[in-house]
Amino acid sequence: MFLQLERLTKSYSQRTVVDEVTLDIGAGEFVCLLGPSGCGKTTTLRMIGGFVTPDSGRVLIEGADMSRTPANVRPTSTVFQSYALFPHMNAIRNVAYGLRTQRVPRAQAEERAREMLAMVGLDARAGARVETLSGGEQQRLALARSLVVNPKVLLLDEPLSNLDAKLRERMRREIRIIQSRLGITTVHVTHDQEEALGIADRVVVMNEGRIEQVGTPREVYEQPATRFVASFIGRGSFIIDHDGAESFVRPEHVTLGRAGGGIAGTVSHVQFSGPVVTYFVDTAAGTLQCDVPLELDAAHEPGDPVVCQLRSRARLAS
Amino acid sequence: MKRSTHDTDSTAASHEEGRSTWGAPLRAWTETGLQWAMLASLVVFILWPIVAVLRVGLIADGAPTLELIHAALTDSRGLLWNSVFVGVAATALTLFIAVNVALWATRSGSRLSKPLFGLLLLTMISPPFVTALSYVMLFGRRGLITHQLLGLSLNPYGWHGVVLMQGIGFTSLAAILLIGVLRGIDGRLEEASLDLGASRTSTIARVTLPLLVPGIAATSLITFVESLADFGTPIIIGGRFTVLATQAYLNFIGISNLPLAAGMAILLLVPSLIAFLLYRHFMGRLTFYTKGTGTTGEPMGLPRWLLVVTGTVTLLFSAFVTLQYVTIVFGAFATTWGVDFTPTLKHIQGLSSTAFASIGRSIRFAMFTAVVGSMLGMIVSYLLERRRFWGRSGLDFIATLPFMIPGPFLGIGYALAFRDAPLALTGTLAIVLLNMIYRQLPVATKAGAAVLSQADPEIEDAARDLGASEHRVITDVVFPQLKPAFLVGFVNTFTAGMVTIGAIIFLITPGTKVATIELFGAVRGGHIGVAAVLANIIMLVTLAVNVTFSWLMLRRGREERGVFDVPATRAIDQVIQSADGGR
Ligand SMILES: Nc1ncnc2c1ncn2[C@@H]1O[C@H](COP(=O)(O)OP(=O)(O)O)[C@@H](O)[C@H]1O
Ligand SMILES: [Mg+2]
Repeated sequence: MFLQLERLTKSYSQRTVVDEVTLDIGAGEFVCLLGPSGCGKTTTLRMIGGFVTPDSGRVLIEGADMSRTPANVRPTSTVFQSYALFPHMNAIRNVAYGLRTQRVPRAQAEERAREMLAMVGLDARAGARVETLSGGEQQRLALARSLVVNPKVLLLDEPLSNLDAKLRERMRREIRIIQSRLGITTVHVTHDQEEALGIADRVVVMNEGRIEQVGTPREVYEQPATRFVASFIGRGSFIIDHDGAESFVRPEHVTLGRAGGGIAGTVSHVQFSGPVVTYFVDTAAGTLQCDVPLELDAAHEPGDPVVCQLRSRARLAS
Repeated sequence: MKRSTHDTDSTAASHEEGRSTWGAPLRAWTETGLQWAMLASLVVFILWPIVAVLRVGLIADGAPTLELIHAALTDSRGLLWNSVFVGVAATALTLFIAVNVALWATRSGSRLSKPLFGLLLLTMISPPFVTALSYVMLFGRRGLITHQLLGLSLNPYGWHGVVLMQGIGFTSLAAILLIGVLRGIDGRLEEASLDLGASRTSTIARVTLPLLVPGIAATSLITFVESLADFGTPIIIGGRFTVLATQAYLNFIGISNLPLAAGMAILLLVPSLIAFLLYRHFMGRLTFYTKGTGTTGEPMGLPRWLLVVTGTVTLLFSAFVTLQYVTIVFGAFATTWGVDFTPTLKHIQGLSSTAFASIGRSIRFAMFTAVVGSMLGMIVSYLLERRRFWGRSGLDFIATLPFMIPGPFLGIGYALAFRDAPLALTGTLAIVLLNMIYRQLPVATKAGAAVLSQADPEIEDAARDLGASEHRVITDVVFPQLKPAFLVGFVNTFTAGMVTIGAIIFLITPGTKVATIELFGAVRGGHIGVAAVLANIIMLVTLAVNVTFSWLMLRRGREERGVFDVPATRAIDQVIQSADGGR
């Protein structure tokens, strides 16, 4: 394994913020830490980057224990949420900075910085002062600054959260393209499930300092392991089976009919949302959400009796 | 909150992690060493002189006594009362003028606001007794206005003149600080008030002025303490009216009654401390409201009646101040002021070589202390803002003390504290320079702290992340960001070095005599021409150096950022806020 977290734990004044986090990440893999705000994602990332010392546990990169290595000698590089660009340096000097600390001669450093700026599409703004750059440009600049030092592990702390929706989607693609091209192992932190599912090879869902589930985006979406994961990612309904166990159903896995086999219920509420119509159906097992594609919609009304067929469901660990 | 907790952690982290590499333990040691050195130097050069005054003033023959305090208190001239009376009256006058001027400068929309600001900056740098000098020249027995124009032969000496001239003298700084606060107020709040149907008058009364209250409180405090500490004005124009600071000075310098001088200095400390406690009590944790993000239109204009009032006050103030300065310029070229106004160069030509030497010394001392003092301020502010260590809040408290202690107290304190071994510095150049540095440390430190508390500590993490050592983090990232604070510290310390005498007058010897002392002597000796020449030179040099230095540092700066804008005001607020050591 390329990057290993072994039972990382960190407490602040008695409160355990990161609790026994263990994770193996392969070379070139793109992993997302996903969880609600305050669940310890940033703290975990800062422990990998060397800004926070774990109370216990280890961080290994290529098998070497890095837990006590200071940030400035660790082969990791972080894109901070605030970008943390040096306000008193222009774009190219920001990028060249990491090379200059490694005593790369100025001309050579600027040369490589320029290449990196070109890679993120900022070559035209090389001489610009940081505060004159737009949010998206600052984001790219921060990325270029981290990449230029050739880190073994790239750490991204909610890099897209300061951008507007359109730009966020575009940058999500760009980051992934650049990451694939360089083949750099990446840990990305976000509280946005859509972003995590859309960008990651593997998603690590965190809650209150602990890992709830690790899996591909598809796995965590289709087979949520815990109630928390199920409710945090996407929409769906919890139902109680006859044996009393709880399972979780995605709205698109429910088919609605007027009659036939399945769970009988009554439509309580209808929501139109473009490509699908969502029905809320009250049944004996609980309220079911059901998405019907617009072209198949049979226009049920609240109060109509319906039958729900479940095409797939996930059993939850209790 | 989150931010400040972050950074303390990352530092703790870099300490702990330091152990695995070779450079790291060394680094940790240097840093710990630096922290201890700072702590020690502040204790020795701030705390110890204060203790020395208390010791001499409160202990006689090894036993605690209130005899000296009692003697100072029961002085038939009512010294304490006089000091407080002048302090309150001058503060009220200053505040009245300054609020009017500040409102007018920021809200009238007049094109004259810029030149007005220039006038305020110019007059802020003059030595306090320059106002006294101009008072003598205008209203004295042979004053230009009272004697020449009105043909009167009044005795102008008394408390009225002291209050008037202090009040006007302190107005420039007060107005500049208030302008900074007014500019920082989020204009959208006023827009919201108008939008909700309030008139301009009630918007000023219910939104603008309440937001200005912290600024008014801070400026009042500064003015009050300044007034208490000013012994020059009462000596020159007080006549038989005298105050504590003056008597402390005369006892110390004139008749060398050190214990009585110490007792008076302690007494002088009481009203300043009370003022501080009142400020803290009423202001609580309230701080300056500053601009949110988002754009506003033009600042709200003033209602007509207020425009007339503030405009009139501003006009009268500007006219008076201009008259003062013109008087001093002309005074340098008049043969004998009040008797023979024939133009002459004799005062300039006749400037003694000792006077010249004193000017040179002033410049060298002020320059040196400004550079060293601001550097020190930046280091202390960095330690306070970014490091967590034992004694941190103590360090913060001590670094703030000189600000609330009247100049003469600290001057007497240095004289008493460094008489004997192991630190026998009496009569040396070092004692003068150290006093100049540590006395102005709070402003530099707090300006630095204001900048750092606004700056994102992740920027420093980013530098570490990119391979910068702790040393490089400071030189590459922290110091460049601290530039505006350094500038505030430099200008403040340099100006203080050039124009104030409150503390160092107790420490100088012929070999360390500076221009202000020479000027003070000339004014007291009635050599008006010479005094005017010296005053002009001091002002010109101070102005030239400040302008040049600001230009050099802000050359590549972004917007036109007034050096004394919000950062300076906030620095002063922070000085006051943290004066109890709690943050
Ligand atoms: N230096 C610190 N001191 C005290 N508490 C902290 C510190 N850093 C983080 N925390 C707390 O730890 C919890 C997790 O924080 P964080 O890792 O930033 O969460 P996330 O990035 O998932 O939003 C939060 O409740 C936060 O307040
Ligand atoms: Mg976070």
